[in-house]
Amino acid sequence: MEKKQNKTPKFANLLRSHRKEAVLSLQRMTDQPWSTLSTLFVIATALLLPACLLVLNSSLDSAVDSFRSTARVTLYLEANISDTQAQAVSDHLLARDDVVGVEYISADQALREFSAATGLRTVLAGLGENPLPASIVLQPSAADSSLVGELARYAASLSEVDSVQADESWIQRAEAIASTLGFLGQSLGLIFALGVSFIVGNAVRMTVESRRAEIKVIKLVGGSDSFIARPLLYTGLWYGLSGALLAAIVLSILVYAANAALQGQSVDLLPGLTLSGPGVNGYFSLLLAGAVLGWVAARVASWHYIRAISL
Amino acid sequence: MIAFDRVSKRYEGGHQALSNVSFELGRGELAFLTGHSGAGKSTLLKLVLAIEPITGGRLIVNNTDLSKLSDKFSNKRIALHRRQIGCVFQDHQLLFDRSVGDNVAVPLQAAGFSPQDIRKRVRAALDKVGLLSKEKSLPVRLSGGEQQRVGIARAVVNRPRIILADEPTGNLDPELSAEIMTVFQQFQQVGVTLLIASHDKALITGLGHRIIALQEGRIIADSARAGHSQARA
Repeated sequence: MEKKQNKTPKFANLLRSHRKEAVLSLQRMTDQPWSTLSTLFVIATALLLPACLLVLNSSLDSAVDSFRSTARVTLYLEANISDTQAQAVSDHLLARDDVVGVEYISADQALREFSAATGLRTVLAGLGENPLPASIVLQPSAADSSLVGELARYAASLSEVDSVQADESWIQRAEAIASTLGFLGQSLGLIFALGVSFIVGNAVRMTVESRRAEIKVIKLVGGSDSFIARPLLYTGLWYGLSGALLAAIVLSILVYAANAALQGQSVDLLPGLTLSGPGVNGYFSLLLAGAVLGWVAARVASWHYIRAISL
Repeated sequence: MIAFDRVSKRYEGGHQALSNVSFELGRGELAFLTGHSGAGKSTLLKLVLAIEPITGGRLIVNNTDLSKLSDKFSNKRIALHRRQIGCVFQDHQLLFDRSVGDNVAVPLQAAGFSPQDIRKRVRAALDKVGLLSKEKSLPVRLSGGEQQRVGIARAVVNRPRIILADEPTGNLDPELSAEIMTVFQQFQQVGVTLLIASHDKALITGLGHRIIALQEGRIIADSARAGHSQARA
């Protein structure tokens, strides 16, 4: 056997071949713009849905975060507690690590605020006795629902405290919605990734079909399967990458439009809720995912279909 | 260069295409393979090209033992094996979407040659078959004989040690056929081993080369054994 080929120029030739096939496969795609566009559109749609869900999930997460910073725990004190005792309880609670602020509202102050707010001054004056309890409002340090719950339970155990009201149920609900969206986004992402693979695989199959004669000749004259598959791998890569690019463009438009719609609403769905795009890292991940998916799917499909061509 | 030692080939469906075939072709030898269609000529060429694995005996081509050709025989090794062999087909197997030069360049591209080397070798190969002026033409613009010569240029462009041809003159008139045979003989003279399947008895008997006749998968006559003088190596 002849072993005359030397290594160095061979590597350069391999690189040149890769570059050539990358450009050629792109040209072949643009040669049939409609078929290429329809495939790209399907790929983009498949990538877009999970991407939207993940964007919604992270936006809701950050809304919950900002909502948490405004979370409060209100302690209603027993009726017989004096201002001094209440002040002592406040100081005691402020000393805790999970509390960053306390505000004491005496029974008198509460009555003044209530009557000012409601205009029921004469009715309240007629009661003779102040029906409202004194209260302490706590600002939790960094409030995830378990921490707020813990703080509320501790406060309730104090003898001076009659009852506790915490906003944790709201937080829990928002957290549940966010994590459901996250789960949906991830599982749909996996399912649609499979779908994208099938789309790319089908595109590869059609390319192999249309180049059957050429592939046969290349096989006969000693072209290896990897040489034959090279342009197909680039086809897969370009499909995945440009599908993801299309998805990214549509996604950014959607985020912008959704925010405009949110701001038009008269009620706040959730304080601090604005849709934020996936950011540079997110867009990069989307493109990377598309490219990798396309490449891998094309690799599997070309391996399969090239072998199926009998000589 | 090619050594068949009691080779048989049975296809998966059970069809016995070749039975107990033994012959040797030395370096620089030219032999014709004759027989009716279905006699096993094409199967024999496919075994040499490692398109099909043998199912019995021993087959050594260009120092490679193809008896071991199985699933373990990697795709890459088969590709390397085929690069040592040039192939000419009855229907030329040219690609009609590209120029004559680009057709001839295919084996070199598959083997990873640089564009400069490819250009040089393509022109040399086309020159050898007398078609240098047609380098930029499309194959459809050529006559049948010219198309076959492009096929030969493609088969020799990689400077193979072995050339296989399956009915290379099947579609050509006698004059063109003789012309193609002359080209083949020129390659024999520079040391290439050629195995040419043909049923055109009138054409090949006059040439004085070795003739191996197949019938129902067996060798029924081999002019080398019958006493014809042949160069052996």
